[in-house]
Amino acid sequence: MIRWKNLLAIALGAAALCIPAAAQHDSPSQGTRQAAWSEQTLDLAGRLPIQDGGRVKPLSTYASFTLLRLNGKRSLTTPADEKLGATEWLLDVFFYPHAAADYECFLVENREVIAAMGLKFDDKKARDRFSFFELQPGFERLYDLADEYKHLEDSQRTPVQQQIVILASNVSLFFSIVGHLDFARIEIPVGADPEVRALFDGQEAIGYSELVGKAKELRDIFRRTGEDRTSPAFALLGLGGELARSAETLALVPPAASAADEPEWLTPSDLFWISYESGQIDDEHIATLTAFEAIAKHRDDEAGFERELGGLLANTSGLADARGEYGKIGLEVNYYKSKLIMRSLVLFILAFLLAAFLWLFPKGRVGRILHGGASGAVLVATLLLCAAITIRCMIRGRPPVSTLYETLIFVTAVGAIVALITELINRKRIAVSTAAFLGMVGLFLANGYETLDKQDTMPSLVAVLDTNFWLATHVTAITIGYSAGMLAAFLASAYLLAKLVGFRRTERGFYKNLARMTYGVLAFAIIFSTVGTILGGVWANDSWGRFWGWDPKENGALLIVLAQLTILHARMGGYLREHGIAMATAFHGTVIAFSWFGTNLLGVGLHSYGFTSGIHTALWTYYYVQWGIVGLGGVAFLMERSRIAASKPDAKKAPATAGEIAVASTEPATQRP
Amino acid sequence: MRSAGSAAWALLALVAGGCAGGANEYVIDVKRTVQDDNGLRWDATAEERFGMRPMSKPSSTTEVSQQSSGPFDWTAPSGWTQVAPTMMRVVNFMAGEHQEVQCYVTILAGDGGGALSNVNRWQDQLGLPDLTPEQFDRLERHPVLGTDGVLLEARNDSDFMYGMVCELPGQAVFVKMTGPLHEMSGERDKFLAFCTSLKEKG
Amino acid sequence: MRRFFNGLINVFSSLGLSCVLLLLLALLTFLGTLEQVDHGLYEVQKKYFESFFLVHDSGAVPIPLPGANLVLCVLAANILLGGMIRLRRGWRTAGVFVTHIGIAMLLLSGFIKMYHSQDGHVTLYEGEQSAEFQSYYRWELAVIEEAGNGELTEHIVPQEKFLHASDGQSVTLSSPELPFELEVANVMRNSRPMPKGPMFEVDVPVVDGIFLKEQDLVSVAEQNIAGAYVTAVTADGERQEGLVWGVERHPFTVRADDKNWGITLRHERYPMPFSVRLDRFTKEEHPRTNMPSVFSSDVTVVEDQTSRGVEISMNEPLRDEGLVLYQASWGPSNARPGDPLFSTLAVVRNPADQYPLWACWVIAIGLLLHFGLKLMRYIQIEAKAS
Repeated sequence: MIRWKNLLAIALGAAALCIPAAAQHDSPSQGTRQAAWSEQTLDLAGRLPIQDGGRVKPLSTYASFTLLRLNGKRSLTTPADEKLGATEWLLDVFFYPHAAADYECFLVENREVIAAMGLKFDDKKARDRFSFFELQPGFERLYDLADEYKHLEDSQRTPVQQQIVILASNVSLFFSIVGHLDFARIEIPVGADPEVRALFDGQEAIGYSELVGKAKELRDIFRRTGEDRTSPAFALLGLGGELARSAETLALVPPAASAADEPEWLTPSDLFWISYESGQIDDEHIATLTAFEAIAKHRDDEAGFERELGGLLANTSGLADARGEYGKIGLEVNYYKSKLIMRSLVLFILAFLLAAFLWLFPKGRVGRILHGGASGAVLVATLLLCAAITIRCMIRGRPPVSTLYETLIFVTAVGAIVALITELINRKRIAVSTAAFLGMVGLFLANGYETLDKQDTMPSLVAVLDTNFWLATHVTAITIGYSAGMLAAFLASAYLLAKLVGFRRTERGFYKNLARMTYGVLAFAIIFSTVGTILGGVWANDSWGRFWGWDPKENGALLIVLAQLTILHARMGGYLREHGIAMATAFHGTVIAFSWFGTNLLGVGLHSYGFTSGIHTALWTYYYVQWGIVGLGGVAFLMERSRIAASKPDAKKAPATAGEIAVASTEPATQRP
Repeated sequence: MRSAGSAAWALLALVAGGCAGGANEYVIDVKRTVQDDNGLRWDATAEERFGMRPMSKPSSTTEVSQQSSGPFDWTAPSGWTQVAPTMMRVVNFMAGEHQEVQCYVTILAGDGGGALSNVNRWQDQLGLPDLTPEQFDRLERHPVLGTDGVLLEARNDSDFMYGMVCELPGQAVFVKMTGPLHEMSGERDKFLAFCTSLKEKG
Repeated sequence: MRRFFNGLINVFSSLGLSCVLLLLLALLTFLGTLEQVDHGLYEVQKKYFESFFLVHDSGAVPIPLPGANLVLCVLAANILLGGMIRLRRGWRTAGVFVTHIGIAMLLLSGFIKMYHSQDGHVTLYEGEQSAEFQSYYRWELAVIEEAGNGELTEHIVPQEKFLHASDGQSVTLSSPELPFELEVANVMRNSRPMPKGPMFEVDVPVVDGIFLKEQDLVSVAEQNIAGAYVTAVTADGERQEGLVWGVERHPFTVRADDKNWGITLRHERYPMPFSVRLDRFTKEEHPRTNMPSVFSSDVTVVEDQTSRGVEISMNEPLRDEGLVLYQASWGPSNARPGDPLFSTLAVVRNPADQYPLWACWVIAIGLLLHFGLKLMRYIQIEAKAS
């Protein structure tokens, strides 16, 4: 009776969740964890290698992005009010699946999704989290709807339809991992047949590892007995096959062959089929399965669990290392453990607060201390960020930028460095304050992007991007262009806002300096955006045979270059003076934002990477804020002009000639159409 | 100045465009000789030329002859076509004259939320009001999988549904059949026959 | 007159004109980017970027604008006059001068590419060979006869001569070398052949139970497949009618003068000075994903009895005799493991192929020179100030 119940359960893809109530007390998937996972356990489990998304990564990274994808964050609170990290959660899913199915780990953004599944909850909010068991009665409807919506293009789906598709895929993902260790905990009854019994040294029940070891022999017995489908050998094989089916998602087992010969890692399921078909199963692989079984047995015994987990780690990391695929696992574990980007963000925030106080109390010793503090915080924050970027480059073996997430942290780092250098040159405290602000905003956005995107930020790259030469030249140059351009836009915005509130109205030097800095940074930006854009064309010419294809991303880059060149020429021609340049430069921040993110939202062209609506909102917020600042800058200009006109009736002399360059002028800004 | 320039260009473009309009007779004057690399065929039929195939049945409804799937054995009524099981549907059929009727078995762990709430979920799918516990008690019971299955018969303006809920220890098994009204006549007996024929495997 | 001429030069060399042109180009780029969402790249490129003049439909009022082609022509003049010829000479402007040379090179390469390049693709299954490549968009009608020795003679009609034969119009094609005249009618720019069923009527002829159904034009231009009705009329008045369709596998065959004549509608073909044979196509994915990591085609280039093997892969094209062949795509997309695959190599003939790279160097040097000098002056001023 129990046997078919297990089969029934496995047919659902999650044996663990379907053990009959009658057998609950002795079922290996029931029960709850008695004590927190130990530090040692988490460390060992986190270092287990897994091949996922085309690369080998630590299990901790896999756990963290999986939980982020399901739950919208990397932690989870259990019904018992215990706060779990991602690795702890994944261990619970593996070893206490029934309890984990009660954790509210499915974030549903909109109550309409739940209604569409035919479910009703009175105690949930419009955006809330649900457990597997809570959602379960609606799965049938969920899959029906998702099947229907899957045929629509992303852009044609309503938000609710989109979320239904996402939830269905999240539920499938949970299904596929929640029963993954069933093979390790279920005892397989051998049956009474003497020939089969003899194969397993007379044991009454065996583990999956033993079954895998003898799969070929069982198959031979089955063949010899006339392929009788009611034979004990076939029954046992059928059971092995069903167990294998629940463990076919996570590639936790490195092949014994070299990475060139066999690039694909194996799942516990693959091992069964390899053995079944060829009879050739490596001893290390049987040892891997045995190690999983031993771990599952010791789930309630901390010392034993740690010991067996250590054994498994030694086994799989040894196999992976022999293939040259384990070398960077430790680095990646430490990268995420060290939380460099989070620490950098905290320091940028601190620097921003110090800078804010600096402008309130600029004088004397207090001012000097605040300035020193802000500069120091920005410097350390930038160094941490650079360290993070360097480690990422080492892990991936790539130049710093190859994904949108990486553009965010790289732009932030470059912006901060350029601002620090500017500060070093003129020590006017403006650049360092801007650096603090830019660092803070940039890293907030990076974190927000990661949370919205819910994907590993160190993914494998598609074929055309798989070129370190062009990533290092074109992508890096264009990203530095974005960065400097944004910094210039921020400096210009600071100029406009300061003018508006009348900050240091009488100090001409302050504004002159700010304008010079803006111009300097803009010039720096022009070099990189122009060269970067052309290099992009040269790359396109080398990979697709056309230098320029009017693709939205290319056009976006061109727009930046054109905007910057227009500002430059208008300044040369005297059409724009200090204030006008500040307004134009501030506006060109939105041109950069359009090129950087906006073009991806259009959903056409070679560079559209697939996107979420959260980015849409953030982008439009920035557009409006930046345009607002430009508009206010215009107001400030008119206010200033009327003030000057009132104080100096004869001040309306002819505008400067074209040759007179605005930067040399200390006159109040004047605009000529 | 600039506008005069662009007007001139525009005029030029118009003139050029006007000349490009085609005449209705043309003497072919381009000729070239090429290798017959791909073996030109002179006798291809229209179907072959355009890569058209003779009409065939849709391939998604692969007929499966076996009488067992997932954890169950059963006897399939005549006229039902078994289709591939999905993640939720461990046994899956299409039926009716135009194959517009679906019938399938699903299994949930635990009590799946209780028989009443599941029956009401089905009611809801047809846009019908929830059943009260009293109405629920009056629903027919049939012996299915060694227990009393609850049979729901529901219809709205366009569709008909038969649903069978069987609560087993630790899990619930659902058999559901839906389709347009005109396709569902005569299916009740087949549905009940199918439900009662369900057996645990082994 | 002389004053007028000088005035003209002044306008064309002015910074004001530069600003206006840059802004216009930015506006066109922006509009052309947004329009792609609804109208596809091909149409937008023709309307906004390759044109001299256009009318932008803003929803409320139509806005006449100069096309990017015109703007770039004027910009070229502006750079030449203002940015190079009339630029004050000296160290302060040396960087600007060099940069403008680079930009002019870039514009030049664009014009050469636009008016003197051909592009298309050659698509081969493993083992196939071809000495021609074909356009993605342009069509031609070919009348084919056997010439003996495994060779074919093709009489080619470019698309300008027949594509307008729709709405009751027809075009008559003839040649002294052909024993019939060819009437072309009902040309459709996007079409699909369909069997005529008993339940509906159609307003075009039905041949062998099949008719051509006109489809709406789609925004991805290379997905539009042209089709037409052709009728061969021999000297004695015999008419043989058939359908031709842009991606048909075999020609429509007519008999005349006791000979077979194939008539086919196909993408315009261009001869190459060599032929390529696809020996092996390799496609690799990142392990356990569907994400491609490597595409490459091992080809043999055959030319005048000599042949050599070359590997063409993503970012590694083959450059030979003014042609460049790139790994563009592969298919069929629904192929199962073991199915034969084809490889599509994009082919471009562009005399200005490498100009942009050189221009990029020149521009980089110019900008670094210019802004480097400025930065040094700025640092000096700051140092003096503090």
